[in-house]
Amino acid sequence: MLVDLAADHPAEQTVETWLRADFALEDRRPDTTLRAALWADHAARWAPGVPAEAELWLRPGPTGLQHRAGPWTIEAGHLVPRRGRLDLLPAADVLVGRDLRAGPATPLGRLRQPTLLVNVQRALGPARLALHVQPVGAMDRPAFFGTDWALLPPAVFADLQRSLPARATDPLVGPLLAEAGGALLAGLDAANADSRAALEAALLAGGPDAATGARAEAVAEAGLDGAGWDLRLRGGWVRARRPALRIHPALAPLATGAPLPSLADLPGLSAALDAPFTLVLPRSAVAAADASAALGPVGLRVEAAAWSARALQVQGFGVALSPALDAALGLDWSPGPRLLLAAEARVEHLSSAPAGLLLVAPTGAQAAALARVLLARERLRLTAAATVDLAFAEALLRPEVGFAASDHLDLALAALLLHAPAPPPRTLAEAAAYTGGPIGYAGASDALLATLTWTP
Amino acid sequence: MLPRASSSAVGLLLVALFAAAPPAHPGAAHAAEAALRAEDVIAQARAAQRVDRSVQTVEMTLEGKGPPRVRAFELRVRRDADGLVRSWTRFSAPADVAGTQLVIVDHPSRADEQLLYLPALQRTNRIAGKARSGAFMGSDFAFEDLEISGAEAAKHTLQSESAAAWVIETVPGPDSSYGRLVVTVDKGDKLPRKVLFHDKAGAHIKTLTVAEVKLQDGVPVPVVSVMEDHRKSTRTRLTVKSVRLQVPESDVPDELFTAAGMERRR
Repeated sequence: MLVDLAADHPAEQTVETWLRADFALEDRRPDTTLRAALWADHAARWAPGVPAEAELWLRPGPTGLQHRAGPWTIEAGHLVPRRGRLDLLPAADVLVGRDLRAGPATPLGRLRQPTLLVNVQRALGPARLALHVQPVGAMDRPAFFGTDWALLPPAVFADLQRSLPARATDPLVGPLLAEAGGALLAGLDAANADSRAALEAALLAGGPDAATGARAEAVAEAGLDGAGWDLRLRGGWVRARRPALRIHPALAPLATGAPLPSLADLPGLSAALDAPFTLVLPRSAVAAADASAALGPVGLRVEAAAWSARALQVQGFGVALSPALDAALGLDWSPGPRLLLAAEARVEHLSSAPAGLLLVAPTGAQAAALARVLLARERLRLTAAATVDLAFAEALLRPEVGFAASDHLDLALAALLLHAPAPPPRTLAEAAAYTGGPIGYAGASDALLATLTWTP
Repeated sequence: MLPRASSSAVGLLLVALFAAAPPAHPGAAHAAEAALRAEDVIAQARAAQRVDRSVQTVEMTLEGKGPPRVRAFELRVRRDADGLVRSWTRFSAPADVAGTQLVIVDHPSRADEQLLYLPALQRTNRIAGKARSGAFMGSDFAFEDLEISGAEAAKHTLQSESAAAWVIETVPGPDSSYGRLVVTVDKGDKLPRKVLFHDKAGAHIKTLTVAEVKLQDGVPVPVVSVMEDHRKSTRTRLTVKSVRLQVPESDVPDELFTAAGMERRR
């Protein structure tokens, strides 16, 4: 349950709940493991004076099989292809798509999404080779509208709806366009999770950029385990993981507050109205590496990845492509089972980034830290996590207290505290021209989180 | 937090208490005679418990304040001729730790390696450093209690002897959190039956009791053991649900004790 402490606009839901029931079966044999899982998700939102909204949807969880035959291992199914060693600021986790729709409220263990995959691996002593194929490919799922973490958050939607009548300058079609536009925006804002997901998928499937190439992805991997260290390398041909939303150039002036089209303009806008938005998810070659070692009392983790094309959001809701290079480092210190201190840092560089990027810097740097203490026979846990975006001088702090009432029941209470020098956008024009980072964009979204987990 | 489990079940652990005995000190005749007898006991206990490859399923129940908490795990141990000892543990219960795997590689001449596979994060973590006095999985066993090695610097003295048992006092090395241990070894099966743990101030803080022993392939195996912490009034019961000794090498392959092997078995 999340309680938003800062109401951005009158119609914002201030209390949200997410419930997941995870039904899983596993048959584990000496050389074969079969898994089947079903996720039932329920989301509800409340706000004073606003009817509550709720939706329920079912989808498969991690389901598939793994079989080992001598030096060979084959894995197939709807599984989570986790790679890399870093948790807070990964760079080499290039196969998986992440569900980013709940922003930083999403638990780490729920971030990565299963996808269809086949993985064939052969062990060669301490080394191994593998081929990994994803027939459909994975994609990050950011929120484009409907939540405070969306590209078009509720405040911006509300402002757009309010401003449409004033921008209807043509006496003939202006009111009609304003009314139709308002209805469309209201529908998008009120769409439930399933409808939003379907709309995003339709955008992705229909856009010309998304249609480039087949949807399958393939990655070759090699690994080596030494005494006290390990190294993994991978390279392949995939789609960029994070999609970007492109507004049709003919409609782009609407984002800056221009008047609605007049009757004379409409015939020229027909193509734009057919496909007002597209999701851009270009093909990309990727090469990545990750390694870990223990250096005395400190655990060391490193990752790096190079992409030939990453989709970048540009101010005005345009899209640009650029090669990208990411490198990350993690350190752990755990003097005993009750205390863990971890720190991670990541640098991202876009070699062909244009001016006017939205929510990303040409060279970005982030740092994160986590401290966890276990008390009372490991029943009570105290966790503090912080993420700092050095390029935008933004920070996010998440303290949490958790209590294992029994082996079956766990309770946790956390706070999300956001800090950014730039205020969040309140209008579409401000959103389109935003110069701050992603934490500032989400803005006044300090929240309290309460989590209850029951396992039979 | 995540389990940093045992390198052996209690039976092998108890052998570890006697893994190395110092040579008798010349010039102290009585002490030398007693030390030699302690060494005999140690040697006989080690010989009786010699197991190079084993697979066990173990249930650990934590009793004390609040409802009992149960941890179940499978443990595979391999000891090579060069002294390398490796263990692999996979937890099956409770649900919040099920799927967690821990590998400990005990090198005879350098620092241990520890690898931890976390199912929630789906990755393997290398654990560097450890606090030997820390509790294993919230139980009354300390990590120090469950190490294979670490007994190199211990000194053993035969305290007393009866028709049924020897009582040996062990003073651990300087790295230990304990001041001394008093171990009762059964003369019949050479298995330690009771261990009294004293802190460095001499206070009796914990007691390990082997409540039930079973003969498996000619090797006495502690099936039920209980560790009591007298300071906290808590108990931990270890129950070996199944055990196979001297299993084929294919059951404990080299690859099992690597990060890649753990991820293959997730």
